[in-house]
Amino acid sequence: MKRAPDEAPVVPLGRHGLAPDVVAAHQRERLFEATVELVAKRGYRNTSVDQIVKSARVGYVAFYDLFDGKETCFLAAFDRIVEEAAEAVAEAIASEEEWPGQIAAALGCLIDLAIADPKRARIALVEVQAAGPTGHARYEEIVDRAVPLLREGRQLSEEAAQPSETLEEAVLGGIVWIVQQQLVKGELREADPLLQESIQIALSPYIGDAEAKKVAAATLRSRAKRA
Amino acid sequence: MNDVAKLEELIADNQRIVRRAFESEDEWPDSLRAGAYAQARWIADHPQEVRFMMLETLWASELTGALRDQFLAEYTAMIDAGRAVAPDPDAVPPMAAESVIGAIIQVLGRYSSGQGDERDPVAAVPEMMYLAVRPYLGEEAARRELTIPPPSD
Repeated sequence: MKRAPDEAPVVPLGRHGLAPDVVAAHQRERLFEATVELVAKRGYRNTSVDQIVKSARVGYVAFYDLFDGKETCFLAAFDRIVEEAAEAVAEAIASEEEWPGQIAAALGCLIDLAIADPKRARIALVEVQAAGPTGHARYEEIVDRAVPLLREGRQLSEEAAQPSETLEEAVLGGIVWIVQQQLVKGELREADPLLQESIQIALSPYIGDAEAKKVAAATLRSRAKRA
Repeated sequence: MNDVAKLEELIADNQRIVRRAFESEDEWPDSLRAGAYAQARWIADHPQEVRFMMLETLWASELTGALRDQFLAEYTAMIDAGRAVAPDPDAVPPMAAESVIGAIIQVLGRYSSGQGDERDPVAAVPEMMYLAVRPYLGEEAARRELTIPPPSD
């Protein structure tokens, strides 16, 4: 049977001489791709283990050897997406010396990732919240991971040192909400307007509106040059 | 009662109470503050229902998504009413109200998380007002919100 070019190759049936861990890694990869594809298209609640297994062309026994059920399979996919994004963000931040530039770079990186692969973005930002209390808690963990970087902004001025206690969480919630809305409506296409507004939302409480606008404008100019 | 019908009923009840409070004040942000306290008290009085709304239906399906959008559109409009009294409306970011809605959902989401770090929604109102007022009236007016005590009722 001919295989579509974008499908992951299947481990041959019967005797193949491959080590069990190689086979498991291979199956895990196909299950990851199938989970992302199906959940992004159908939603977490409307996706079943049956559909994932069929789409990944993996047997039920192999599936349950790797995961307890749909939730653990989905959360493994979520974790992988988050870790890959975190690596990309760390790299983007490392290229900037000043805190405002680091925040702008992190936001630019995340928005670019979401536009490049809206399915993965949908898993990480939308569907995880449909995955019950465990999914919701996992989503909160990524917010908590981002809070310290934003909180560094409190050191920039005396005025910025005493905003509301939940400021960072709220700022992140505001930006993520806008991205979620655009993802759900299929409107997440252009990075620059969203990035400009996100930078202003993130930086204004710490460095003021005027300075935040300057950073946003400089970031867009720099991206335009690189493009 | 199915989930959609239950959600519709909760939304109608919530909107009726919050709208009445919002309309009891003539000036923004007083109107928004009155609405925010009504909302916070409703949330405090309906923990199970809020949990259902936040965790069970917020992202559950296209239909509940449409209800969510309808529900939030009213509150987005209440926040964005600040544009009319902003000293420089053009300087207010286009998505200011949406980002405030997201901020509120994020902060109050933990109230309904059931993960043990629930917050008192009424106590969170000054911080929510700080976030809502800041894009429209600036830092000074926003900080004033942090010092205004809750209404006696």
